[in-house]
Amino acid sequence: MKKRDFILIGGILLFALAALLAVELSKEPGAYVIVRVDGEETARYSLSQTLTADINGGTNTLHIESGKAWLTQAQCPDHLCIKRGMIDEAGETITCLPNRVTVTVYGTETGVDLVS
Amino acid sequence: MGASKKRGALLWVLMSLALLCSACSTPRQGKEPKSAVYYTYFDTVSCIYSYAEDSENRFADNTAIAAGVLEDYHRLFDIYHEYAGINNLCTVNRLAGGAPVAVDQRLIDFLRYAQQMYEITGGEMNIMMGSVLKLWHESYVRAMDDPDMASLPDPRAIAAASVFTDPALLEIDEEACTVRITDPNASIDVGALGKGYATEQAALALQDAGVTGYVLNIGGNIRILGSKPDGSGWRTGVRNPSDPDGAYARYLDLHDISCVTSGNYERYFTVDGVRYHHIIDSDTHYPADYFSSVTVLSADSAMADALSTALFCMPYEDGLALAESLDGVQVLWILPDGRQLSTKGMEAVTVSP
Amino acid sequence: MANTSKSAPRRVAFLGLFIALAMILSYVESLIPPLVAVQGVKIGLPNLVIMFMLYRVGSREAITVSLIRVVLVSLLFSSAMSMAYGLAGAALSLSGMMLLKKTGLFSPITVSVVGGVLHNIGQIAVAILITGTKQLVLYLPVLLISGVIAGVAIGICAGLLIKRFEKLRF
Repeated sequence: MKKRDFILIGGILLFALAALLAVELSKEPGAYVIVRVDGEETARYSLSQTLTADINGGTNTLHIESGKAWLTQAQCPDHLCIKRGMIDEAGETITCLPNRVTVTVYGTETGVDLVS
Repeated sequence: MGASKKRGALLWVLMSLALLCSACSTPRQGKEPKSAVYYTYFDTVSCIYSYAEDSENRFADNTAIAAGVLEDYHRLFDIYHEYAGINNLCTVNRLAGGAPVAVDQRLIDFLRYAQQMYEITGGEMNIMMGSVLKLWHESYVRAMDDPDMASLPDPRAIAAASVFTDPALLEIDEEACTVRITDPNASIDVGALGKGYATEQAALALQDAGVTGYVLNIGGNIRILGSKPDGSGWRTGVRNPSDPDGAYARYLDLHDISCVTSGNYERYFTVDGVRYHHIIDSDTHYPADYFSSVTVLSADSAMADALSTALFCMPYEDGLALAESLDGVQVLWILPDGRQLSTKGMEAVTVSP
Repeated sequence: MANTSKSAPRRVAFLGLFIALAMILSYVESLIPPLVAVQGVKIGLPNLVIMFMLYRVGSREAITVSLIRVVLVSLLFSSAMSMAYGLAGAALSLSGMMLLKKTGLFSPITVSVVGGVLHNIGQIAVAILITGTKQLVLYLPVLLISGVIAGVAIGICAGLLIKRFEKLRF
């Protein structure tokens, strides 16, 4: 390996770390989740509630409690979406690619208390 | 590559991992309001928020007061179910054309209020639209079941039903505490007023209990009690009708007031590419199309609810005249082309994004 | 390269062997429990075969094996949907690796790293398209880092193999 190898790999890492830092710093607490199936929004739920809901006709089951959301059941081979665990910050997403399901957390847009 | 360089690379990776972990565990803070949510009332989501630093117990007591009131009115106003031990609007509708129905005093008070609103709004807020609204509701439910089968109500059926929307068909006997619909074809539908009225009653009950710094949001019917503990107002975003999930059309700073929006994006079905929303003009018996949304501020949540529907169904000039004739009522009209019209007081509470 | 192989049947046999190897590595990888619960964080074992082929057999063969592996693996073990992710990842990663190798400036480790990173970028791009969730881009940093780490690991192994089989001609 030569110097230019280190520069290229280091550059990629540096970029990734800077991006990661930017993502982490810009995170804000989540307010609600949007469930999408095949790219289409199918439901949105407030995080300030306790709820269990079937997604995509039951291929996945979403649970919301104490301001966090996670999947409790999934009909897919890898169950990565369940292992993803809890999400509670704006921008975090649970993805179940086999079922084409995503659950994404959104924050209170530009900090409003209420929406009319 | 040399051993030292290998070690260097390893160090790099380890350092990045360490950074990764520390970045993930950065603590964050932000004061969340206490909140209670109910799904049982008025087929909608009811939220009670408080920034007041009440104990959990006190908050639970207060929300129980409000929930109790909402529960009572939910039962009284329900036009689809009857409940053991009470005569509600479903009972009154079922016995239309028959004998007077003995009802709770609270229902009498409400129906009287609805009659006043009918007068004030020049007939735009009419709870006797049940026969017509039933047809639109059926179309809506059909469309929700199968969007491909969506169809409009039969115009002849609408014309026939519209004959039975005269408020005089409702007789209230305050002394006997009874009500009676005189024609079996007529029926009551309080969709445009019931939520706001119940919200106001719940707010009054909380006020009696000395509560402040709370907000009731009953399916979009917002009733604010007081300010936040630090004295600031509640920042309220008014939805943009052409993009309800996007940026807000306007931001309001609200204290001690009720805010209700009627919008054509809330509940609708589509037939041949045309949207038909749920706010039916009592003059045409079809969805009103003057505006995309109308937002009303008023101290009284029932008034705000009734006016948001009524103003949605009348031209801007008439609506402005009506709003100006009433005390403490502010209005924001959003037109289909996105233009916004508003009363002076509405401008006064508008804040920058 | 094709002209160094002695006969067409021999070449086909070798390609079959490599495809089988790549598929087995895909399978082995699917048995490894995920370290991080972010979809796409993988070691990329099949890339070992592709790297080796790039350096010791030829670009055309590497492309053939890579594409056939993706198609067969998604048909056999998962869905047609995963084929879209796999193809996008494989196509982007292969073109990047080939370009980088062609410059002759970088070591196999770097080529493998770029391959791993591009693979993840390709997959996340397709995932954003299919799920309509643009927020997935926020996982790019994590996937970039995992791509680098996996790329280094695969690159080191591939480097050893490439050296060991220096004299072999397929």
